[in-house]
Amino acid sequence: MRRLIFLLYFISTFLYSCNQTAEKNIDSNFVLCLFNKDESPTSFLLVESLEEEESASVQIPLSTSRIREREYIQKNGFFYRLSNQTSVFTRYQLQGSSLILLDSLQLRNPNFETVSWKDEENLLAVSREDIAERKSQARVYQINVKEMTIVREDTIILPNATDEFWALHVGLVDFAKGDLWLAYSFFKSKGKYGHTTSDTTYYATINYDSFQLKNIQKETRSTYPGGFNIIQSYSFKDKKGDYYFMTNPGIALGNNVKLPTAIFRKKKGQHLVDPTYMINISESIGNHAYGIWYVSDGKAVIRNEQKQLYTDFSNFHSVYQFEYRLVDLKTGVIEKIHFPLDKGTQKENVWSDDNYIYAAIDDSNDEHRVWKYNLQTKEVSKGIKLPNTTSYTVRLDYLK
Amino acid sequence: MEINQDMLLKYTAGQCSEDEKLLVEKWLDNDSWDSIDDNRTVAEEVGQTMWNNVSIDTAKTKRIGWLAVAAAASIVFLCGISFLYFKYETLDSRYFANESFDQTKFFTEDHYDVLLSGNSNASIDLVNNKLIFSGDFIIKPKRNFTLLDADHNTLIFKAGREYFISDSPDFGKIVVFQKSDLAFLPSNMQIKIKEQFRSI
Repeated sequence: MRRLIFLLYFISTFLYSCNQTAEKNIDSNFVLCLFNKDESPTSFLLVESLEEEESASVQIPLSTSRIREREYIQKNGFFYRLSNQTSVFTRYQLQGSSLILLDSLQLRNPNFETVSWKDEENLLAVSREDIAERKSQARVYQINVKEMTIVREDTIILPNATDEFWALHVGLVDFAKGDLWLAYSFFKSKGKYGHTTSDTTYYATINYDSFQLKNIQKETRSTYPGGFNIIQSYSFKDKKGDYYFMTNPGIALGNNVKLPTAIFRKKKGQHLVDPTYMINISESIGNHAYGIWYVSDGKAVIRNEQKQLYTDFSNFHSVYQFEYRLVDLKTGVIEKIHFPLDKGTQKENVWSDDNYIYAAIDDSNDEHRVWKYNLQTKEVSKGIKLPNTTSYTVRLDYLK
Repeated sequence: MEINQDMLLKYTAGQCSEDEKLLVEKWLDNDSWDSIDDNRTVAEEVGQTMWNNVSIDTAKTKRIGWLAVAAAASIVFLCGISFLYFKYETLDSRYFANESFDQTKFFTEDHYDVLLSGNSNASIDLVNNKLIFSGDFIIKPKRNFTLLDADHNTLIFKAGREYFISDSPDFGKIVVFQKSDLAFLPSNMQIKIKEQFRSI
């Protein structure tokens, strides 16, 4: 089967190469991760700019195991990935148009629930440990990615699991003033494949030196904080250093749909989430959202579903339903951005500079394109067109 | 030795040495990004340009004699008839069951491979194009075919692909997901599917 898939891909790249005018070694600023049609291997598309007149790009084929191809961490042109087969954490670098394996490190967990950068060189990564009768146990890694060494690793049991909701999801990790901060919730299985999350979110503050729990803050305004942020972003720090994050109780993540998708804030230097601050997205727009990206000037973009357009998991990812909205973090006012409707669950496809918001969209005309929103004039315009072989544009990452 | 485009070309042509063949197959099965070291520059909208060129070339094609057309049509017709005859001769109807609670069961057939999860069964009738099943299974077709499920939905299967099929109410209705679709399910669902079907 893999050979046939590969053969199809090879024929298509060979046909493309026959048609190319000249080899071009580009200085890429962006990489787009493409799920391609006909089950061809996932590929990276390297481009110099996101503008419409962009004329050349380079595609790098990845392997054929497609399920987890979009799950990686990208920082300054380096890529980090954890194998769910071997628990080996690897570091790659883009050199020209090649992806070079630099180093690897053996961990004991095959999945990261959430990650954040402690500083430029140190990654904090949290994994759930499903050890019998210790289901609320998480493992925290601090990895120096330059040296590719584990600086420290610790296990912590996070309290408040119940007999009914015992399975842990750690959705956010932050580091401030010598303390580790984790946001988490508990879920239970529902049926053979389903799950639902309990009504409560917990915020734990942990002394990082002693790894002792200092405080647990209970949150009942929403549930399922953050998510798997190696797939999509759920938090950011603004220019002041205030930490914003979203909760995701919609069916694609927490699946406790009666609670709202919301944005919360933890002010710089604080360990407690501000109990007076909440932007209730679901109440404002009548839908759940997944994914948040900081723009500038106190604004952020969110990506929301439309419940009237999908029926269930059979078509949630494939219908053209996703909208983009601009949230004023100070006033809570939410404005719709008039991009074409998008498809694909949990995409990491938004980037912005001081003037524009860019979003890579797969629209209902089977056109795959980066769209631009002018922050001053609020006009929408076209950016770079992506190859027709694309099915889903699952990521857009800035490399510099 | 590193994977490169030349080696891949040789692999598809069946001209690799045993060492090269092993290396390429390892790369195809690997979940890492040990990518090939030679990449192609792709001009923007190259696909469209290619099709435009095809159109232009087609317009330029000179007139072909009717005798030649008739001869070619006869050959195509004969080939088509013989192909259909061969097809009907080889189609079959099979029933598969797995009574185990938690172990999968693998079946390999002429036209597809099937991996049934625990407590699942499937009746795959390629003669009448019908699928009746209960539970979950993965099917890897070796040829293209279409099946109608119990709700009269038309399910299209293509050779060389891999499909996850389930009637679990957790998905809302009968689902036929290609492997790439599974990437969009919630992580907990993906993990549970992977726990059952380790080959996914």
